[in-house]
Amino acid sequence: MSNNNYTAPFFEVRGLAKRFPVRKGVLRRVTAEVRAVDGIDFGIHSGRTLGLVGESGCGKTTTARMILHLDRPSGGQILLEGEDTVSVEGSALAALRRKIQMIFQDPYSSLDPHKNVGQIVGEPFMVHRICGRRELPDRIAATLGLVNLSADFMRRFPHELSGGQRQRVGIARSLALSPMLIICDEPVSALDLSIRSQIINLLLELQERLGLTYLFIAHDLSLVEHMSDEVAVMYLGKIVERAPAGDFFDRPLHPYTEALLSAVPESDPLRKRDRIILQGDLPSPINPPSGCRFRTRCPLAAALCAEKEPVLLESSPGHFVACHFRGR
Amino acid sequence: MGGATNDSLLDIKGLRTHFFTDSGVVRAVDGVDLRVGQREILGIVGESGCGKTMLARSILRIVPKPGAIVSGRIELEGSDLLTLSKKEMRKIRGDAVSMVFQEPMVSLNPVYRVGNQIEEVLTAHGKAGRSAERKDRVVELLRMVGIPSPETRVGCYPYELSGGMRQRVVIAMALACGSPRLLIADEPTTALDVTIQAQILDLFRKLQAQLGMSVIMITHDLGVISETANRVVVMYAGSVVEEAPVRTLFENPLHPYTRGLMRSLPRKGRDERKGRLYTIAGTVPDLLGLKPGCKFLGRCPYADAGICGGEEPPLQECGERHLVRCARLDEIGSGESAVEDGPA
Repeated sequence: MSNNNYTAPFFEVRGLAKRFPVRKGVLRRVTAEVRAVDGIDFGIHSGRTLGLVGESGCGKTTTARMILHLDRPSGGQILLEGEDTVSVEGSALAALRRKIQMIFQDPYSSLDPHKNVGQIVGEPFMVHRICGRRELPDRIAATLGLVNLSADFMRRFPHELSGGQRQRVGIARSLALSPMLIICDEPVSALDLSIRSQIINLLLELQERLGLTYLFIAHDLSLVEHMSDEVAVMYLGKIVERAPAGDFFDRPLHPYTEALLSAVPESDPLRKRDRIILQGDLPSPINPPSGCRFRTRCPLAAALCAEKEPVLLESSPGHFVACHFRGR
Repeated sequence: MGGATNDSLLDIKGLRTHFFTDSGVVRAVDGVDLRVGQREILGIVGESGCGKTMLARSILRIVPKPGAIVSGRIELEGSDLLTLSKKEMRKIRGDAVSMVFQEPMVSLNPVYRVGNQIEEVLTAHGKAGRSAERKDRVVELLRMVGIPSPETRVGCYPYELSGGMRQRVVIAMALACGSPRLLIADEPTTALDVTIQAQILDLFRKLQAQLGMSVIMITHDLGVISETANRVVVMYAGSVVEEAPVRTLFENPLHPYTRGLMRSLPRKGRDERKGRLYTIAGTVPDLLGLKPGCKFLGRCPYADAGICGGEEPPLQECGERHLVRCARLDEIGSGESAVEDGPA
């Protein structure tokens, strides 16, 4: 898959930002704003996976919502095949929605309990007027086939299915419209341990067969390592490090990435390592620290970090880091 | 870690906790024998529905209806908790045996200040007489669980605290009555981010050593187990299927379920990036329609219907303090390589 000549990524965000107003008092005056996502850039090549990691409140979900056109960005661009999609409307937006789909975390709450599997998976075809009623059962059966469920499942209801089967139905629904980019938001964290690897294998198989591009959001770093070609770490609305997966896990540069990797409990007691335990909690995004946002928890922090915000710089080919002390 | 000894603190024998639902009897805990040593951290690992939470709730006798403890003994330093009166049991809860639940926001009352909630525990157990003494004790407890500037935090409402801080408050409540002999932690870090999880696990280790208590750490995360526990019990569908010291379990897992779980986690250096992971076939069985025989039968790559379909095999000793519930142990052999060679 390696390309010698540079090609523009299939999907790209540039300077993407989202600010939410904070209102106070009876007049609901805007007193402050939360910079949930504060100018981030990344790209994903066709058929590849970008792993997006960070703790709750770092802006991962807001980023996903903007890409799905569920939240309007406050600034920046979202480019699909080189075209900015931020301002598309009407039928062009409907067409765009077919191309970008999402797999949700919890298959217990993301499926309508009153609809059977046929209706759940068939709904996108009806909404987007892809096919008529006569063709529909075949389309649904073919889509269920992609996730290794037989057509018999069409008449079943979500409560009759196991967690793994439900997640397969959720995946089938997102595949119904032949999307190009799929946002996987914690796709296995609500599932039983013994069936997670079945779903992971399915996602990998679908990517190979259908050439899908994934934005893979997860907190399980060993899973991100397994699934991703490239990884980006977010902290308080900023990307602090971005690198090809191998480089990222072998040579993390940002102190936050190091802490994050060392915090993962090692499921092999023979491989005990030195642990960096970060002090304190995530600061409030309403009033983030000046300069580098990580400085309040950073073991390397110095005076410079409070004065000047570090920019994301390329330290080795493809490996970007935003830190005054690392990566040169 | 903390000087675990071989003296028992808790001894559970033949515990059965069943749920009498309209559609039939669910055997959530189905004949469990378990021992917790003095100053030991015992990990209980298993998937949702394996009975680990109901086992913990049985110890405190807080099994929700329509569940009930059907048979067995739960001996805390020799006295059977199941024979105590309700009043005597209330003295045990929160005093000799305490519990920390998964979701701190659910364990805390949202409309009371956290200081008052901890104080309530002291009042309920008749500890620390005067109001000023109680207030001092609350501040001391918050300091012990690592809450910065505890004097001001006592006045906070739960929503004003982060998830990690809330879990620290819940731990402080569990420790409020002096020092419990046994602390049961049910998925205490599952709702937390990894960097906060690392802080809380660190706190558990410190408190265990400082207070000399025993801990039962219930989790589905093998990583949490490997980092905290001295000894591990693996549960599947209401039964203990394997029990071993933590290193033994990770170096030489023997039950096909334990092996499958360890094999299915992506691991650096073993699994190629984006390569297929090992999968355990099928799904977790429905406890309502459980057939006789080994509960892992339908999913086990080594199963032989003739041998495994009869009665549930007993827990057999097969190494130092290593117990496994598998009828085909001799054929399977040992070592992780067996899984790799075995049918996928």
